[in-house]
Amino acid sequence: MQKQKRNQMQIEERRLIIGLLIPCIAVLLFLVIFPLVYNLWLSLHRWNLTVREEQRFIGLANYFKILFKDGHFWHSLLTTFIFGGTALAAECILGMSIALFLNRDFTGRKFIQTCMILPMVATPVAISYVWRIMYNPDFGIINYILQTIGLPIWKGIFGARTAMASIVIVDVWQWTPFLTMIFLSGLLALPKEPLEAADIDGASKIQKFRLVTLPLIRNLVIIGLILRGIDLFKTFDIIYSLTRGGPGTITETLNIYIFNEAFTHMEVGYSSALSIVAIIIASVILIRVVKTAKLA
Amino acid sequence: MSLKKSNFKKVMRSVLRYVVALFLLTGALFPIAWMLMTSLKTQVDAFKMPPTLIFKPTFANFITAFTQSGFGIYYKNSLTVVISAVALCLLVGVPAAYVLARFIFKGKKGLTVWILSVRIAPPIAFLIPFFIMFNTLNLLDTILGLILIYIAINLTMVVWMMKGFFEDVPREIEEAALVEGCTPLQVFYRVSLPISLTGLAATAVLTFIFCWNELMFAIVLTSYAAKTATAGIYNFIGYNDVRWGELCAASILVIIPVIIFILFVQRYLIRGLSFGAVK
Repeated sequence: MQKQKRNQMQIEERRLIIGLLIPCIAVLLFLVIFPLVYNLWLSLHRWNLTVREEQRFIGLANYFKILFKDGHFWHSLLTTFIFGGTALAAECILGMSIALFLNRDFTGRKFIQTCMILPMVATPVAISYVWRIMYNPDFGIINYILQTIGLPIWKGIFGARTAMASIVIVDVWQWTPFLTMIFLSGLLALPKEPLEAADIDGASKIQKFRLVTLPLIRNLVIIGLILRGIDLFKTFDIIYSLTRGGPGTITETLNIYIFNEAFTHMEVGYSSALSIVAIIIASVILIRVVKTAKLA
Repeated sequence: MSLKKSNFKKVMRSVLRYVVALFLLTGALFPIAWMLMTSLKTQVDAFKMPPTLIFKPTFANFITAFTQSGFGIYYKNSLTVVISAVALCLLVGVPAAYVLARFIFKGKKGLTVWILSVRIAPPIAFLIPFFIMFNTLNLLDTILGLILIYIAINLTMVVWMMKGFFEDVPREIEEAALVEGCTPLQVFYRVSLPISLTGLAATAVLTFIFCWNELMFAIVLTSYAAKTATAGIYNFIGYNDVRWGELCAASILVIIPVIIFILFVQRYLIRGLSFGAVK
């Protein structure tokens, strides 16, 4: 009798699992897996949406072109790394500093934490336009302040040498709180004993941070950097809204390049191949980083 | 060190702390505050050099943006698309998350890897095939099309987050319900779901925020009928002039919902953004 009941339970469980899981798997299949497979199929063809001919199967020719004949691709990849690397470094250092600052409890700390979250959720396109207004050489507040102190006009998104900095600044403004909060959660969870022992041993503040705090929150820091790194690689909104990849191609990251190829030049076959290459690059870097970091 | 000296140091430390705090506050809020100020300025005031901090505020920009420039329609589209996408994501994803949290079965690890790998892929890899598919299926510039794609990009996050929340439900309560005679399905919607209601709300709000802020798919897959608020911001940039006042007014209208929402679920924001890596 008991065994029958148990079997009945198992059958019901089985039915429940299948019933609850199937809709999700179906959606994933049609809306996620199928498009990616279609993307792969597209990448093997030559297809320009503005040309009336049918798409032509050309095998791996797109990939060969990307790897060996497309300087534009390599340039955009380099730009992506410059943008991502600079932003990540800035956000990491700034984020850690602010997290250390917020580690001590004081009145108003919660309020500051709440305010610091706001940049992260402020709609990127909207915030990009405000920054454009502030950057404006003629009537922007930033240049007004610079001029009053006597510094030359900063060309912001229009200058060849300042465009990259302008987009990095906006990203740093928006996403430093992300790393700050992650680091802070790690700092707050630290046990007090190791730090107290270090105090007794007479360690300086810097020594305490380097030799006690940092090793203890190492894993969390790495996770935070990985997450931020992935998102930086995928960044599109603020770059598109601020500079569209310009002036020229100075701020044209991989995403912007693929976007332009697909929706300005309408070369969907080639841009599909580019996007596949982008996925591969991101995955390879991620796997390498996770392996070398040796996450516990 | 005498007591007076150490007290002085303490006070200085405190003062320094509040100066830094003020710095952080200004840094974080200044662009948003500037957006608000510019939206309340007339076109003349907006361009004045030196920039004016004290001016006569006007709501004209908001009114013009909403009525003349058609921003009201874009706003409504955003609301329709995002709310529907969130509802459907929850409908499909929450049950699946429950299964992943509670039951062990073959292929579970593979599914987990799949869910994580979608996070890595640049959205452009989805945009191109969807664009062509929608073109063939006449789903371009439709509300439905946009809803489908927002489900596609957010479903994995919903499943992942809810999985975490369901795992937090104590097993004893569920087992007690089973002993009481509940079927496993009843345990799900009578026990586990109500307990995870805060998590559910947080997931819903976060999904709302991500969909609401989305730009790339919106500008490519919509043009007139289904244009959303984020894509509609570009409308204020004409060939010869940029209507900065209206642009900022529209921008303020766009970011107000997400700012209000995040105040309710800020505890869960980092959890959602880090895909559960940080709780």
